[in-house]
Amino acid sequence: MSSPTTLDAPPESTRDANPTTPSAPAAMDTSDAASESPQQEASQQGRTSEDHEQLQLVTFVVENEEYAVDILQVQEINRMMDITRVPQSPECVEGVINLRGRIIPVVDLRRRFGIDSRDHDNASRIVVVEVGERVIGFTVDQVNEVLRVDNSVVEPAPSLVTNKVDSAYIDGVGKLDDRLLILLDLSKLLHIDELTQIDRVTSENRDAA
Amino acid sequence: MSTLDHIDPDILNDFVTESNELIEQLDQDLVQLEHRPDDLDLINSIFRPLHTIKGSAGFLSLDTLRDFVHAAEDALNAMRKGEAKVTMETMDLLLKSVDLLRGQMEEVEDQRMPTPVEPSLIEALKAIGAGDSQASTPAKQEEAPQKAGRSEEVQLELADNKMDLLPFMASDLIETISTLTEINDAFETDEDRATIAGRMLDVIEELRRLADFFEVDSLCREIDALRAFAQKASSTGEEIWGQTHPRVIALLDVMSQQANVIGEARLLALDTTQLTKRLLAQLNGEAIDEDASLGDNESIEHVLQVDQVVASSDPESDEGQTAASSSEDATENSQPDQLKQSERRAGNDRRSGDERRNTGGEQTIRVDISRLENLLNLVGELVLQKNRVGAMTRKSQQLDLDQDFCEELSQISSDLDRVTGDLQMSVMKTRLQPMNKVFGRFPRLIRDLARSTNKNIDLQITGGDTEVDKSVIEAIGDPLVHILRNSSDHGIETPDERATAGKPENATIQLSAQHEGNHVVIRIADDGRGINPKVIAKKALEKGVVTEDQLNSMTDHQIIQMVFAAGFSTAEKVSNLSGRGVGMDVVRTNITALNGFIDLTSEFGKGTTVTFKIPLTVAIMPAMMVEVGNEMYAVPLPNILEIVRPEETQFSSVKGRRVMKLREDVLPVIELNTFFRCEDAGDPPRFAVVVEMGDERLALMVNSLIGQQEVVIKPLDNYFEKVQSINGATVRDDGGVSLIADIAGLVNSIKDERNQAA
Repeated sequence: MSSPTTLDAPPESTRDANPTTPSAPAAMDTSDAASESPQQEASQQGRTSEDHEQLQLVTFVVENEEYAVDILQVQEINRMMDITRVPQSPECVEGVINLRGRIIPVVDLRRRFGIDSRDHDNASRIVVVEVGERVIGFTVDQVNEVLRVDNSVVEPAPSLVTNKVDSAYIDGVGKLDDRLLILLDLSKLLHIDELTQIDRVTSENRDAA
Repeated sequence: MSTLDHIDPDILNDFVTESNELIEQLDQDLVQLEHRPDDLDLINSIFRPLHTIKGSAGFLSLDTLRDFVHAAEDALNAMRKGEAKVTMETMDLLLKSVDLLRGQMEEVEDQRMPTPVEPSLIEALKAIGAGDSQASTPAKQEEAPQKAGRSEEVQLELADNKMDLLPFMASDLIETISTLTEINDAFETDEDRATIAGRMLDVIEELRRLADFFEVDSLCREIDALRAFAQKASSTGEEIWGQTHPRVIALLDVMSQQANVIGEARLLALDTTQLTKRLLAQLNGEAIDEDASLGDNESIEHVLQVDQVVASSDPESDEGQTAASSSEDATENSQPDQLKQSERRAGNDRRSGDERRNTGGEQTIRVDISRLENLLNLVGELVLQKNRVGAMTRKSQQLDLDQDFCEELSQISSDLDRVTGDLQMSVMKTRLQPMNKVFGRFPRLIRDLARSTNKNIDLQITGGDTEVDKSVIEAIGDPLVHILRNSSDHGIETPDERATAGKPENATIQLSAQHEGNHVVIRIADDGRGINPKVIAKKALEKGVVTEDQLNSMTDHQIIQMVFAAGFSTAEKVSNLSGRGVGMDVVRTNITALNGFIDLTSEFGKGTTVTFKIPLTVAIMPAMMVEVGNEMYAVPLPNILEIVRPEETQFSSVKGRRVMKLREDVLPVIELNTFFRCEDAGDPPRFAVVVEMGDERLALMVNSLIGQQEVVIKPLDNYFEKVQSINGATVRDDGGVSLIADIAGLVNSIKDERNQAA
């Protein structure tokens, strides 16, 4: 049975992830998690100055690219569970899952970015986020860690940061030593009009071909 | 504008809620009165809510409101006395007053002081009341003794501010008398009369204070007699005890009867003068009439007869009922002697029965609707968990487990099943409301419509007490209003036209509701001019709703259903069935949103009938779980006619569509695995689930049948708003999610296909 137990982040990130990943069940209060973490985080990222606000990000991978969303938007991260396909739904919606009695939709982020979907594996996760009033899940190839970064490392998105994601869905880009994080604007990325928009484009392409 | 901030909002809310209910009732009764102007009971029943509103308004110092209601009350009072006539004009005035009253209530709800109504209206009301321009209260007082003279009941007259407190004081009174009776019962078993009498005296003092409130002389006299008895109880000799104690028992019985009705501002005409006089006389050792002395263990009934308390009931009297029932009470209490002891002991039971009776008016409580919603959601969750327990139980039977353990587990599971089912039903019932909640406003609507179009329309309502879920009640109002408007505006002819057509001048609209299985069926039938299918067909062609070919293959019944088609009725006036800007398609949409179904039949020249068929509840329903490809779907059981395993020879193809012959019928076939585009389509489906929606039937081909289950319908996210063949989702007993097939959507997809093909 697909019990909705929550994540343990992939091994490589355990050190950072444990105290701060949203591993507590639904009731997890993200602000609690944030208040718990400083003693652990302080050494790692360091606070450069008081007037710079800190961001806590959940980072994950889709097709070799590393993305991030604000932890406050993340409700929980689940291992893969049975996803019930819904006929006639938008292309990039994988289906619905039972989240403790609540039925929520799950978006395949690969398809959402226009990448061919692939079979889920052990590293695949369903990230459950709150966007406005809605609770939506999306699948990612792998969840990396929870990062505390200084606001200053986030820069506005360049017009073309990646060939995969339209810059309209990007909140900004986080530059770490050797990594580039793409901060996603979930409310735009998961907006229903945008989702159906893709369908129209793909079907037009198909018709054209 | 002055506000009502100084009044406790809770009290204000209660007042508004209660008054609105009363106003609703007023509306209905006034329309009735127009038909039965001589019905005194009806006038009285109109009078009562007005009086209540006036009283409460006075209590809350809503003076403008009070004065207005007062004027209306005067007008009615004049009608009641036959000093004013019930005419169209006076009724217009009264109905207008009710509307204004409703408006004032809205103001009160917003915590504003109600705007005074135009003086002209009050003047007009007063004019009706002229000839009895006195305040109604003195008028009533005049009437009271006269009433008492001919009937068995007296009206209790109290100041308005006391009237408000009456129910509370009455229940205190009942309770105190009941305590007293209980103490008195102790004399039977306990020998220590002095102690008992002491306890009695305490309660009697309390009772005496309470009695002042009611301003009823007889009550005070009765209490005084009781006090005298209690004071002398310890020193009374056996002989006098034998005479007085039965009288006390009888007296308490009478008092408790009175207390039971006093809350409704009534008093039974039970005269205890003789009883108390004799009681006091005997206590003082004075002699009384020979025939008034009592034997041992006298029954209450006998005592009451001897002391002429039970009024010789006048069978002609319309209110003799009460007296009859009170003497019945007495009879009940006067079982043969040997039973009497046990009866006394069972006295508690009797009193609890009394309490039940006297609190009859307050057997309901108001509950915030969100709490009920919450309860329903919880029950929904419980049903899911119950299903899971059931699944685990079945699974455990296949395991190698202890026999006893398995039996006990399955016992628990089936008990849980039953309790959950009962609970679900009970919670559902709390949400049920009678159709009258909606129907109630229609007599007024029809009256106004008839008046404005100069038609004579009788609205006949049946089945108003049919109960349906609150959500249905809320959603059904607007569609019904729309249909009723259509009927009276366009369906029903003018009296002249009707006369020419040889119909009775008075048109009839029949509105009915009844249960049919898990559905409620609501019918609106008029005897108007009906719908001409030719006109509809022509219009539909013009509007491009159908093609010529399609029309040719349609029956008249199918043709007239097109009035529900989108883009049909919102257009310019269509024959005799046009909307007022709101299309009939909206009506259909509203009904379909309730998983309901709408049908229209009409006989040209004879009338039109619109039928709604709506499921009683919306949240939980029985479903058949089926396997489609490798996925599991739920098919709503109410839509399933039968499930068959057809032979290959039953299938054929008509115009490229696969159909299945089932006995005499040819049904369109939908293979769900391909329709739902299952990734793994599996073997060709073997089972045909025959479903029905309205007059359309089709066969859904599925791979296998899993079984029946109660499913809790959960809405799908609006990502799926374009999905037409799915109605929602439900959590299966194994925790997975199954989608619920939307039969209406599937039927529509067949229709669309048909339209495209044509």
